[in-house]
Amino acid sequence: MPAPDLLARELQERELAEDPQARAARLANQRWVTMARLWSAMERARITDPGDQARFICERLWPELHPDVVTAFVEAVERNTRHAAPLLRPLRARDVVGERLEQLMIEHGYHGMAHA
Amino acid sequence: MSQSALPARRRRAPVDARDANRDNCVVDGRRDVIDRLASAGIPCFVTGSEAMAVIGVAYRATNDIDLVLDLPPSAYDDRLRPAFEPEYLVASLLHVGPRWMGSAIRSRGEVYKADFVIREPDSWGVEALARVLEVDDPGLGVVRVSTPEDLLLAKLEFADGDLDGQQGRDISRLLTALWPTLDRAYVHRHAAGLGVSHLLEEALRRAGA
Repeated sequence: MPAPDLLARELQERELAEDPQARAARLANQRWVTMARLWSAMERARITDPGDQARFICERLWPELHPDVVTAFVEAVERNTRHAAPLLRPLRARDVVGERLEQLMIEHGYHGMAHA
Repeated sequence: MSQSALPARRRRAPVDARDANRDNCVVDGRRDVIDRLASAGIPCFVTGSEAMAVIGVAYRATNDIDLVLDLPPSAYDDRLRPAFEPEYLVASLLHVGPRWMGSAIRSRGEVYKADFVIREPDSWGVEALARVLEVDDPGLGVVRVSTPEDLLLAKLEFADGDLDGQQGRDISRLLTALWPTLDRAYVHRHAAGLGVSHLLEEALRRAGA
């Protein structure tokens, strides 16, 4: 068996043997990092309008969504933000994954905090 | 939560003085791979699915990372391997098409794998290296990452003519999300040089871009 296949197999076996709590923390961190990255990309693209933010998030995270569904969601966000605060960038993991998973992340050594 | 309360293994070593003052960024164990390459004086940039995630086009669903190295293949064993062993299992370099492929898997503690790509010298490889973006990434910290144009070209080359697999899905996502904003002349020029123009046209047709 070629060396890369051996390494991939070992990686797979170690992931299968991973402690469930550690796995939950790792996956929660991935969700948090994914959302933080999305907001960074949105800021680089200078997108600040709530409706445009909603569209950006939908199209990047769920490109398989039908355009009509995205448009309906964008319109709902625009209606709800007309008299309320705009969408805010999540500053810590609990804003994305909730308090329980953030605590689990911290217990497993993940920061769960945005940049200063 | 203070930084000092965190387990040491997850703390990211500052890569430069500018970074040293930013003590609360999210830490990713794979940062260690990038730091080891930097310590060995091996320039690199992130490509593949991780680069897609860094630029906000996809989830990071795996625990690996793909890195293009600016390193002669002959220096792999003398410079790269000592920077990773014994904490990592380092695979021998394999010559695959127009590139060399290597990898390192963390052999203790956290599970992750790094795949290394060394291109044979060509005009695209040289230009891609010169165009890399430096991004302050929430996951990896300050990191050099492939431009979207070069990521698309790399995916087209790796697709090996097949748009129905993972590479094809990634290409579709890149085109759908970014094609209007890309330097199209650059993409077409190097797609021709790489012999993947037909694949690009087919991908554009499928994506409706």
